[in-house]
Formats: sequence, structure tokens, C-alpha cells
Amino acid sequence: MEEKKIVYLTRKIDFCASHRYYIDELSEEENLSIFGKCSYRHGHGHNYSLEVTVKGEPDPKTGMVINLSELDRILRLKVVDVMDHKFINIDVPYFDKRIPTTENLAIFIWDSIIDAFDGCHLHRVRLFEDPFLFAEYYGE
Amino acid sequence: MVNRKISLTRVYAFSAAHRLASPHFSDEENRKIYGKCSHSSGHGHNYILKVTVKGEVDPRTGMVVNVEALDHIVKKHVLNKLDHKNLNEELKDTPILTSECLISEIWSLLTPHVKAPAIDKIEVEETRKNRFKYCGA
Repeated sequence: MEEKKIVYLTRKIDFCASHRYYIDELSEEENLSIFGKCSYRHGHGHNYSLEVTVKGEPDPKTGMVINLSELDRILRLKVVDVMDHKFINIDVPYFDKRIPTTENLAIFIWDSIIDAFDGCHLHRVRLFEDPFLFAEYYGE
Repeated sequence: MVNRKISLTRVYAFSAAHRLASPHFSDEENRKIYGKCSHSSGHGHNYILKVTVKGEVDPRTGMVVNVEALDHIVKKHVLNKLDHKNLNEELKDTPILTSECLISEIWSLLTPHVKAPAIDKIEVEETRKNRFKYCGA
């Protein structure tokens, strides 16, 4: 029997959204001291770039770990349609009581897509807020 | 949300000069080992430094680390020391400034100042073709 060969496949997808970091219980000055300009009243935005990595054995018939059109469908439905060109604090209920930091967005994306995979596993969610900052979540 | 571990990576840039020449070898031997990198008057690179911290998200702030605070530490302890400098002059205790040696120097400069969460790994890109990763000894 041929040994198991595990392959990692990464797909990139972009979305644009606005957000604001602010703790309601604190004053404007306190928020400014924690979050800096990310706390400014009317929010600001980013071009996010998301990398989703799945792992698994290539299907012997198709040669694929996952059908990319299926992966794209999942990401479009669960991530892009939910956040693209939205104000995350207002338009995404998960962030009613959570600050939409890159860290929390990575966890949110993981939780949103983890149950959608059949025959392969979600390995990593890597979210770039801009070219100089990214958060990674491995489900740990 | 409790106990989930997130890695956060911040990307920095600095430009510096160096020369690769081991004090254990003659000029001719250094030329054989390091090629044009041993050229006597040195040369330079646009370095990229990636700093990754790993820890739990603070439930109040939603952050693993305050990025501004991390920026301040990296600027103070690494970028101010190395950017637009000659590495051989700035890091005199490290006689060979390959990126392998440079990355462990940067680790030593940085890690004492980043405690909670601690640095998980750093990466140095010397050029687009050469990348180095260090997670501590």
C-alpha cells in the first residue's frame, strides 16, 4: 500500500472593510491611549488579504486536496459576502461585543469555515490587515 | 474564546551595509568562501525583519499584543541600532555578519524586551532570495 502523502494547499482571497477599535466602558482618552488612531470615531478601513490553508491527501481520482471552486465558494459565502465593503463593527453580529482586531478576525474566519470542509482539514487561517501586519490561527 | 493561541506578525524594514570576512581566514580564503560578499569595502541590503509573537487574545482589547508598543520596542532596540548603519561596526562582537549570525543577534537584542506575549520567531530576509528564520536556541 502506498504511504499517506499529506499536501497543504493555500488559497488567497481579498476583501475590503472598515472597522474601529473601541471599548464602550472606557473614555475616549483611555481608548486613544490603548488603540491609538484605530479608535478614531468614524472608523477606518483596510484591504485585507486572507490566506486559507487546507491539508489532506490528494484524491487519487482528481489529484486534488480540495476542489478549488468549492473552496472559493466557501470563502465567498462565509467570508467575502459577510465582510467585503462592510463596516465590521456594525455589519457583522459576531463583533457586536468584540473588537474586530486582526487577531479576532482570524478566529472569526476560522470558526466560520471550519465545518465546511469535507475530506480535508483546515490547517491555518492567515489574515493580512496590510502588507506589514498579519495574524495566524491554527485552531489551537 | 478562552486559551486560543494566535500568532501575530509585524513586518519591518531596515537598510544596512556589511562585509562577510571571517577573521579565521586570509583575504584570499575569504574570497573563496564568501565570493563578492567579502569585497573589502563592503556592500549593503534592504533587509526585511518579521517579528512574530504568539499568545492569547486579551478579551477586553481583542489584541495579542499592542502593535504600537511592539513597534516602539523594535524601533528602539533594533531599527535605531541597525538602520542605515554598517553592521560590522554596530555589532562588533559578531565577527561574521551573515544573516544566520545577524538573526540570532537581533533575537538577543529584542527578546529581553518583549515578555508578554513572548516572541515566537523572527525572520530576516536579506534579499528576495535569502530568508532566515530563528525561534531561539
